[in-house]
Amino acid sequence: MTELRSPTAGDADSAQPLSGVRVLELSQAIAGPTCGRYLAAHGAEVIKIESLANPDIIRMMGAGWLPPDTPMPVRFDTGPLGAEFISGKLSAGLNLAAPEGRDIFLRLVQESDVLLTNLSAPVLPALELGYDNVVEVRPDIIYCSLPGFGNTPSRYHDFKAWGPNQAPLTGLDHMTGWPDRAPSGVGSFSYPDFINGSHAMIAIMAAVLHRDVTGEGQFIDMSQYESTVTVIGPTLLDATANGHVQGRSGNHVPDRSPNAVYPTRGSDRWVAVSCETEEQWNILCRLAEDEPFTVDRRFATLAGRKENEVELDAAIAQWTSRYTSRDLAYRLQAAGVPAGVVADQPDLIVDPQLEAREFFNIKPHARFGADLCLGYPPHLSATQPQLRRAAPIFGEDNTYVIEGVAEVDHESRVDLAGRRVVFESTDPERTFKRPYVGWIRHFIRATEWPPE
Amino acid sequence: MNTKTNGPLGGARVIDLADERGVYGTKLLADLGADVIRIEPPGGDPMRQLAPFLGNQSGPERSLVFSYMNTNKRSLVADLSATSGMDILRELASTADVVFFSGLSEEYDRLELERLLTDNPSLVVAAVTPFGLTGPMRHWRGGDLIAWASGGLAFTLGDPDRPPVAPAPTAHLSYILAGQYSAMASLAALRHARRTGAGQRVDVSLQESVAAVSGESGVSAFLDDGIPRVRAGSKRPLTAPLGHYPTTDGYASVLALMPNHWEALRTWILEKTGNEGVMDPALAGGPQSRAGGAWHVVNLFTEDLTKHYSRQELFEEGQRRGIAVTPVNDAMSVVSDEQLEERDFWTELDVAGESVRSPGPPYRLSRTPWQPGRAPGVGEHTEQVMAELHGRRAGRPSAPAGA
Repeated sequence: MTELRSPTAGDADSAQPLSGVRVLELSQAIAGPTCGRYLAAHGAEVIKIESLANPDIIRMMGAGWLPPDTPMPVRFDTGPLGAEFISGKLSAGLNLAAPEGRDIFLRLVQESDVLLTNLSAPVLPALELGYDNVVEVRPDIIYCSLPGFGNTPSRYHDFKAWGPNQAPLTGLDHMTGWPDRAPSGVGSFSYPDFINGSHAMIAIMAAVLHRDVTGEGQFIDMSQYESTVTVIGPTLLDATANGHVQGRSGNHVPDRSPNAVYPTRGSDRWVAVSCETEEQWNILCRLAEDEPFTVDRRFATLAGRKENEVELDAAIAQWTSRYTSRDLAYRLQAAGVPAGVVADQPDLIVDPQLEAREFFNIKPHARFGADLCLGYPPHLSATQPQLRRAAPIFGEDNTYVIEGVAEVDHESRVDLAGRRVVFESTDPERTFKRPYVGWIRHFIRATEWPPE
Repeated sequence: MNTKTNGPLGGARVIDLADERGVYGTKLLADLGADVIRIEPPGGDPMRQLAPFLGNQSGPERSLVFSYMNTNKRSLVADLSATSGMDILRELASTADVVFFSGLSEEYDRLELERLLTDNPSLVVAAVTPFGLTGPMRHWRGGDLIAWASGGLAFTLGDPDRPPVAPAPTAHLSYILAGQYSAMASLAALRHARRTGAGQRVDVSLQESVAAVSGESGVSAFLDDGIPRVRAGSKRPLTAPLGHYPTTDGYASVLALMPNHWEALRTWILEKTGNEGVMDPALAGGPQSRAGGAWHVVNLFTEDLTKHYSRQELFEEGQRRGIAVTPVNDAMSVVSDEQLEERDFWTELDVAGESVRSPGPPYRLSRTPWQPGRAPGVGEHTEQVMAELHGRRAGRPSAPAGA
């Protein structure tokens, strides 16, 4: 090859903290992919190795608006969550279960710095692609494996971690909801997956810094269960030290009151209010003027408010119901009281703070022209994290990855594709328009939207 | 004194100005070997007053929040409301790689942390604030509840006939997200500083930390299908089974989205309950076959199965059959789960002289392991750190961290 240049590399790339770091990602769903996306945002070249035999479930969700005759592999390129979990990466289609596919993968390993996987613990060792195999061809590889329950023998070793099942297992569901009812749970999003992806990112960053100094790679053994458990340390210490099991409390917490969500004008509209200090409580009472709760002696102290918190919440709700959530949030914040609109999805789209901080990104996409991606939270003043593209379509970077990095010649690649060792994109010239693209540009303003 | 071998972050010095909102980030750095110096005000850190306490008795060494979140750190007392304290902060920052702040943006401004970047051009200054350091709401206040509200996820959590809720509110889960984001970006910025000599500012907001994890129930999904994501209690109307189901000892979470999961589950239901209705061909296939009118029926079929088992039995048998069944555990079930024993997960944490069983490593690095440790007493290392600074001023090499 005369030139080996990543399709996502830009001139600015060399200035990013992880420029020059190549990551192979063998991941599904959220926990692994979200880590790969963070690495890409800081400048790493992240190659997602994908299989059509066992496609990433994230690619399969949503996009019910497609024409019914759209072939499945084309659908895989249109899922709305791809923008969140695959954006910024390269995609290559490779069948690791085929011996020639495994050989190509090991050639990629030779050219890579990090291998990131969240596949179930037995999968890669069974393909002879465990750390012990990989380290033979790339001695300084940083190999991070984050299956559900760890990479060493244990009773759950072969168990699968499906997205939403770590929250119930680790106690988070039990603590979410109301004391007088069964748990509401954390079912609407996969909190543990994000925690685990971030822990993996921190471990990999630490290992990269160690390698910078010593030249040594290493194996990072993670268990999604353990990684999630570590973030509720004080809750577990309360159990081990005091025998106390923390339960559900609605929104109440021990050290402040009021701390709750209140109804406001309109249907299903709410404001969150949190008084951290007596001063903030007094300001709230001044703003509420003639409301009876402002002079009720039961509520005069934190201890009194905690003791009568149900009555307190009912009284405050009487007041908040007369105003819009935005009006209250702005007035409370202007006076120094923590408050916020309980944002629904349209609120997020028009949120002035998210807009000012350019939280939503519009990035190039092969089938849509451009697509909407959620931001990566850290803002860095010198090396602002960048996603160079939205989700790649399946196999979009086969030429660069298979021919360029792994040095498979073009004829062999065609032959391998015919035998489904390499998986190619399907109808890559077929393009679509997302159903909302015509109007969303009026709310999320950016020059990168494709022309109408 | 904390004695530690060199972790992967050995040699990196972090000045810790984090309150509850970001302190998990500096714990992560300290447990990987960074020399984290926590600055406490005279009289001790307000975090030491946070419940729960060891034996339910308050005391500066007894907060389980402080004890857990400050392992492997050194403590230095300095009054940052006085010039003398600010001088110490500036001098410390000139020896540091990262200054890690969390709190309100007005406090960030008052501490003049941006000025530290001028004094030490390779320094990384990281800040976790409720709404960020830029934008029209940079001065807004807020903790965990406001973060879940303004980031768009409280709206999707809780029971339909009650107000929205934050997830596990006593565990302050948004602070964990923000602490992680700030720590990972600080490490990226540290690498950049080592390679180029250029430091920078890292700005993380609680609001964006929540919004960034909202995709499944947030803007991306909503725009795609136009269906508002609302709170639906533990059972979601999307399909069945999906949510919590009763067992002999609490609840288990069951979901069967994939056709093969549902086939395995209904075979199990038939075996256990003899109810042949569950095999109705109309219920086969993807999740939509078990929505609408079928939703209640499938939930009843599922309950008929789950109520015969304990939640742990359901978990292990479900996994054996390839179905996503999980116990809805409380904290006590987690600390007694034999899985975590077998993985040798737990460590002992010294809290006020007592040894308490505590969570172990979130990750196991084969060459440079995560390290257990304990939290410092108020000002435990003031003299030591001041002596190091004095030695530096006198031109002597400073004592290595942890010496």
